[in-house]
Amino acid sequence: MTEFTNYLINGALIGLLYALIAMGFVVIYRASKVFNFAQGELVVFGGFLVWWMIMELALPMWIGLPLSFAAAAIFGLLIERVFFSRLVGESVFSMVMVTIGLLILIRGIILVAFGPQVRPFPIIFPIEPFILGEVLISRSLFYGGFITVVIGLGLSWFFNKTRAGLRMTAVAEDHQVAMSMGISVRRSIAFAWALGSVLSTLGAIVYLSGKSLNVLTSEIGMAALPVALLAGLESIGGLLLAGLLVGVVQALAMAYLDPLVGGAVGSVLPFVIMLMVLLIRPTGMFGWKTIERV
Amino acid sequence: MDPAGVFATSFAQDQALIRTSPQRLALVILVIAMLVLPLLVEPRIVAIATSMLITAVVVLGLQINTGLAGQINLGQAAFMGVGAYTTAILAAKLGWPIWAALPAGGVSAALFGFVFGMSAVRIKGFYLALTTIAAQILFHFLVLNLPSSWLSGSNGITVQPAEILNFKFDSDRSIYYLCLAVVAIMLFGAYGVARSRHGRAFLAVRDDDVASGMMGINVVRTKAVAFLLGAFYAGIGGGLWAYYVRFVAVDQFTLFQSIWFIAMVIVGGMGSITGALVGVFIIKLAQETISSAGTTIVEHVSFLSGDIVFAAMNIFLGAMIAGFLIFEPRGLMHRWNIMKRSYRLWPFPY
Amino acid sequence: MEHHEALLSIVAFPVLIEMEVAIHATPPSAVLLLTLKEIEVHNYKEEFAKRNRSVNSWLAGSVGILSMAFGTGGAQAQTTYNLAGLADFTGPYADIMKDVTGCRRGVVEWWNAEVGKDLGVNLKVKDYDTRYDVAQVASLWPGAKSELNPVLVFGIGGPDAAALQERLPADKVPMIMATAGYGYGWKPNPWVFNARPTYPHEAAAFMEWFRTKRGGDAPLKLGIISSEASPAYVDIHKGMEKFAKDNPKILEVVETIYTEVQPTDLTSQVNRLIRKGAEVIQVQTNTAAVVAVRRALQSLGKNNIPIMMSAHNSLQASGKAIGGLAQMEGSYEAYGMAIPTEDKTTARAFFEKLRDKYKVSSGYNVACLMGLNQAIVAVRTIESAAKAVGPTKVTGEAVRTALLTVPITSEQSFGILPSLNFSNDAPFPTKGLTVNIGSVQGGKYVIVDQNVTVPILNKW
Repeated sequence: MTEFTNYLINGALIGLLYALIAMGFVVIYRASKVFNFAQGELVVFGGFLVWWMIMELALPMWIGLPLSFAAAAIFGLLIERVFFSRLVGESVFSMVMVTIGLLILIRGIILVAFGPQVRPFPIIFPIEPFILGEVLISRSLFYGGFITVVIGLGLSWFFNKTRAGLRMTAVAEDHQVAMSMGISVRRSIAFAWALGSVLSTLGAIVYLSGKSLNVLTSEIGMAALPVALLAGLESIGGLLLAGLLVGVVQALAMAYLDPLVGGAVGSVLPFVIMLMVLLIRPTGMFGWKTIERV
Repeated sequence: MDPAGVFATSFAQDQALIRTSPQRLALVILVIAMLVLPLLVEPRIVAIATSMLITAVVVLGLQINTGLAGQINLGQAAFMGVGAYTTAILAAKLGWPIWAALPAGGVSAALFGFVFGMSAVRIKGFYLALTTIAAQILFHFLVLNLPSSWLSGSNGITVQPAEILNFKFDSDRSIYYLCLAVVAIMLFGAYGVARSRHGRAFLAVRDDDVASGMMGINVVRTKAVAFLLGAFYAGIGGGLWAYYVRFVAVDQFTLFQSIWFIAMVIVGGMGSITGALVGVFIIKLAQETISSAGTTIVEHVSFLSGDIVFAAMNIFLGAMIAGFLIFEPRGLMHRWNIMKRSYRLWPFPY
Repeated sequence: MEHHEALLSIVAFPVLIEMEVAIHATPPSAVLLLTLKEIEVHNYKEEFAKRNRSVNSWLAGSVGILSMAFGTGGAQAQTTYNLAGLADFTGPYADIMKDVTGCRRGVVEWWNAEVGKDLGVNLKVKDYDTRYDVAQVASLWPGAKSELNPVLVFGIGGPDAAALQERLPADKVPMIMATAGYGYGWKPNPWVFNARPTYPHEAAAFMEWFRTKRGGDAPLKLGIISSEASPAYVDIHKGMEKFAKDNPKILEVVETIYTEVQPTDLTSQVNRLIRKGAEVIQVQTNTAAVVAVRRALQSLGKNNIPIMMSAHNSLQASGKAIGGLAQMEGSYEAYGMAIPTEDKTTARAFFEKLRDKYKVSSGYNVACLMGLNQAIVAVRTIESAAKAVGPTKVTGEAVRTALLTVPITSEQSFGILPSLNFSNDAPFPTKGLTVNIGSVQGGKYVIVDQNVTVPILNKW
């Protein structure tokens, strides 16, 4: 029974980590209607910024972390300015393919700037886990989960209840209408990208604390896609629930199905969930249903 | 547009791909050049050409699916893998000859693609891209986890050289000619599809599927057929790959490959069959040049290490995809057409 | 590049011969002849200073030939053979490739200078960039073959074997790999050879050794952390599971856990392994997994359970990834070649000779050893082939025959490899192989044991 509780709790926390990374997706999608395939690369880039500031430049953490966030935000703004401001009004296909091109481009930039070697990531959260009787909870995942919930609820409140947030929501619904209302679409999109980038860096810190970092770490971006889809691409609060679901299902599958099948079912299951979501209810649990005009 | 003085007097002429005699001459020269290539150049270039031909088949399929019908497909490498594995199993384990195993590979890939085509009916845009990425991952998982006796799991499959009427295709030249023949056949098919009513239905669905549904085009069938055809081409390409490398393993068909394929379609020009070939040629040429130039640069410039060149290739690919989409979304064929047109109209501007 | 070298060598040839004659303490007549020839050449030069160079070089050449005829103890005619070196300069392993190819080249140059010269054989290596991609290898090979007509190919990884294993029997060129073998490459009549056995062989040797060290009769309980990201990883754990099934008294696999390439958190998985009684955890995928397992062990407070790694995610590499070798205290690595510690071993002495005399600029690390091990097998085999068929008749097929018939002793490989006896059943020697075991003790990287026997494994 304790094993089951262990899996449940750890799975839930890993799911919240996916939710944190998916939050980057959703924030960017909400404002600019761009589905950012390169989110995993943004996570890795944020991670490398933290590594560089804290390990290479040996800055103390209370300077290094905020600086990394700032640098990540600038990077996000740069991407938006260089690529996506020119793509306003282009087809969905163009947007999708540009983010895929961006994925490869950022990977190349990381390789040139930071090298292909595996780098050690600083220990931001202590390594000892919380021990409650027989249940072990990883400290970085726990703090990360807590931060995710707070940020998730905070952003959800921001987008739905504050004026600034509602402006961005209007941009997400329809660029033209928002412009006619006097809302600056450019500024919303820029803010969304900066925020998405910062969230990715935060995700990198939670994910990688104490472990190692290398350009292949971006695979987690792919793993967070099912969470975003399950929640519905416009809902931030829904991400928390979707993350918990996907994380728990994956952890239980890894624990009980993997030995049965003799294969990595746990890794594939999130994608099976994604396929089911796409086939049954593409808008996810809490996404907006749009009416398409011909 | 046609140059001055060339006009069609019959439907066949209007539909024709070769419209002027210089074009006919150019085509003849191209065909002769392709046939004579192995006799003129060194084996390395023949090998590169073979690899280009195999990629061309796959990218033709992608052009039909994504360029003509507008269905984003990031799983083309998985379809190619399905075709390669099927052909390899039929040839190696069941002893089928190439003229049966190769089409069978295409058909099985088409069926695999059909499954995802059916989902394309309800899903569009990036959701479809996600579905095809899931196809990629599912393919990887299935090959590694289905019983070893079916698909050889992690062991890969070895294929004997193709044999037709006791002639073994085991030298570089013979494989080159085999691929050339297959590409010629598939190219005829592709041009035929593009100019037929199916091609027009694809274009309509690409531009606006709701509207074309209301105009009487069977959207479900059109999308399914697009995926079917695209995957069939990928399967044939995969079968050729199986006979070329003669060892099939699951890590030869990755998501990264699929992305390269789409890049070739984008660079060449979406919606143009010739564009697919142009895209393949340009990107493969760029890859080879960077590799060979890269090694020379690494040798001579000491502070640059080899990993910079690998990274540079990534940057190049990413920048190219993004650049083309931003500045020239209709690809090189569009540029070419504009140049032709301005040449024909000169000195008039329009 | 090569054309210039060739021209240079043609022009320099007679000069070298002349110098050779002078160096080899020749009888006085030759010396006189030499001085006379120098005067001759000098006079000609004065008179025909404005003539074209070809005359001079023709004269120099004829002088050279004459002095060769009259000189004693000059150099023999050298036959030059080419070796094709496949490398990954621009792909995922580019960061270690300089060390691999550097050490490879160093061995070939050493051999040329100290062994090949007396045999009359000269070897040249040309490196090709494969990007670690099967398609690239397949398209490179025909050009490499026709350009070099090589007698041997150096392979660096899976794609090389995958692309070429079917072509090499027809092209009649053997390939020597730098890495350990895989189960799916274990086929008879090989043309692709590994000096090391498969990863499961190396791991099984370690398991037997560790079990003896632990003492007791119970089977050793092993937890495996693997991944499905690549068929290579799957092959490794399948091999281990088969070994455990065939030898239940020696090894028991408590569980095989699948993770991603970059695991999120392995605390609960490692906890499960420990709860099932795992005494050692095998991680042979990559350094990220080693780091994650190590952190999990640290957070569970179970630092006494060792991790076993292979060469590609070695202690040095994993230590760098985790932020310090000291964090890998108590873990082991095991593989069938020398372990690159600071100790003064024969292998290290050989490396230092290469570094000092033959200008090898790499460090003494696992990557260098990969280059050293494949190159030493190659040159020793060519040596046997040259002795068997004569220095002018060495072909790829002769090299392969020599590899299969003549063993390579550990002395010949300077302790880099154990004594190798190749056979036709497998790409690697199926009998008589040993591994070396390294560990981190007291914060230092040390060799714990050498020449640990590799058990016999059945195919999986």
